[in-house]
Amino acid sequence: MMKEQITPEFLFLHRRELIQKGFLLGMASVFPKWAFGATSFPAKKNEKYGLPDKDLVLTKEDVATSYNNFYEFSLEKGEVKTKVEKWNFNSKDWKIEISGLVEKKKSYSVEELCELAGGIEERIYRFRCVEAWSMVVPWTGFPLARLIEKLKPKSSAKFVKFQSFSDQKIGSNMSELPQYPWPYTEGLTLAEAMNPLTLIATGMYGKTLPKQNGAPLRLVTPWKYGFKSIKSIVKIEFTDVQPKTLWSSLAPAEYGFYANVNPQVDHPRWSQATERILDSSFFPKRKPTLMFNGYEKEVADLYKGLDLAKNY
Amino acid sequence: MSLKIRNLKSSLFRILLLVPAGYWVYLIGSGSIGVDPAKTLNHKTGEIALYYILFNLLLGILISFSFRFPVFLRFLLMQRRFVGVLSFVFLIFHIFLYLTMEGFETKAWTQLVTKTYLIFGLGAWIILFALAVTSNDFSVRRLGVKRWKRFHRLVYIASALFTAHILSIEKTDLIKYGSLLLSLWGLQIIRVLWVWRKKRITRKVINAKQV
Repeated sequence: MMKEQITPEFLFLHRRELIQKGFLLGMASVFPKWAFGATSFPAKKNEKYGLPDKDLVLTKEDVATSYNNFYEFSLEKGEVKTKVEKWNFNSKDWKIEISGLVEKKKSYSVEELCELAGGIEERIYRFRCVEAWSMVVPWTGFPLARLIEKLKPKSSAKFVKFQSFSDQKIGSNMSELPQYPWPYTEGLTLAEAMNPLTLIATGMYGKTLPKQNGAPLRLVTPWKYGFKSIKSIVKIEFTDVQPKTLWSSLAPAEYGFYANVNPQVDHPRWSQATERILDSSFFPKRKPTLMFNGYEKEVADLYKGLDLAKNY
Repeated sequence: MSLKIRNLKSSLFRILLLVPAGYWVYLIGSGSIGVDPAKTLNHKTGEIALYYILFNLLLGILISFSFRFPVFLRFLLMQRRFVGVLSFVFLIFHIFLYLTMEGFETKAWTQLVTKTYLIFGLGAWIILFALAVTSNDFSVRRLGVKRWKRFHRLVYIASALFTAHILSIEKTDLIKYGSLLLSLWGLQIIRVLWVWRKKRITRKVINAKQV
């Protein structure tokens, strides 16, 4: 047998997938909506948001999906992945309530929100945790601005408040932390929410969001510390007062409302000047943290005239 | 009791003490240590060292409350030096891992001045270092039992420092460590009162006899 006659391992291992993809490609040429459908995975890549820096590498999927701050399940980041297994989750049953100063007050399914926002796309963002570690993650979702336009907030709306589930049967660790003002609550100014960077993610790495990363949908604000990117949203409310967020209520001296990534403003207990790019190695690479996590061009205008040392 | 049985017992006890370390070495070896091994181990080495020191401190408290020394207490008492040195070995790793995380460059040192928990921690570490290097027969002989004992009472200052260190860095597990350390200090206070009362009673008895 000649060398050329041997099926390459890659093709052999993916033969079924290749047939499927070939079939889909064929069908897509007949029914274009299948390929560029509003909500199917994997979504189209938005080339404008590719790898943010040529020196960066995409965080490995199993790293990003096995190191999660999700206190509703566990305080241990490595443990959340196993703790969520008990969560009997079905995306189809998930409802997101839209309320407050907005015209289209209603409960939507994830699918409905994605369709309303005009479909999903893939974007690669830097992800910087307030604990001074970072990752680079390909998210799938839609820009929040496109949804907000469709929901038509009233002119009196100045803030957007997000809430996660309050069901203690889901979050098995919530009762262990009675001093926490559950449910997890986050907020953005309306201008921040309308910024083109602000994403509502329904997936990552070309698949739907794993439970530990905030299924079925979460916020992603890449210029802010990770805790702003609230997971498993059940309620989006438009308000005229600045929402009280969980972390700023719990430790106001350490976590502010804005939580913009800022290498010049230290956390009271550690420096924010640099970050460790996690890749499960013993000595992860360290790099200087960028102002607004490298998104200064896109978001600096939002904070003109604001003292960022006071409004951390 | 023969020396052999005692040696066997103490060897078994010491192996038992090393079980948690073995478990973590196993986790590293099997690659299931997680995404941020240095951070995880930094936390774990600190935690394990804390338990060893608490063991020693609780033993001291137990001894104050017991009128006669049961055999098991006498046995554990003989292990105290080993446990103490072991805790310091963990604290060497604890600091080393912190330095790898924060970078050996300038950063760790500039943070030392601004972050108070680091000052508390380093203070405790220096004291425990001094206690660890004098935890051998040679040092006991050199200093004399009385002076050696007095010197090793520095452990109480160290424990005040590591209490401050832990309570000012911990946020997520504050309740766990807070209750642990608070009960330790509660017991210490009761112990001081108890010893003080016992002394007063013996003095009274002696006085009464003299009359």
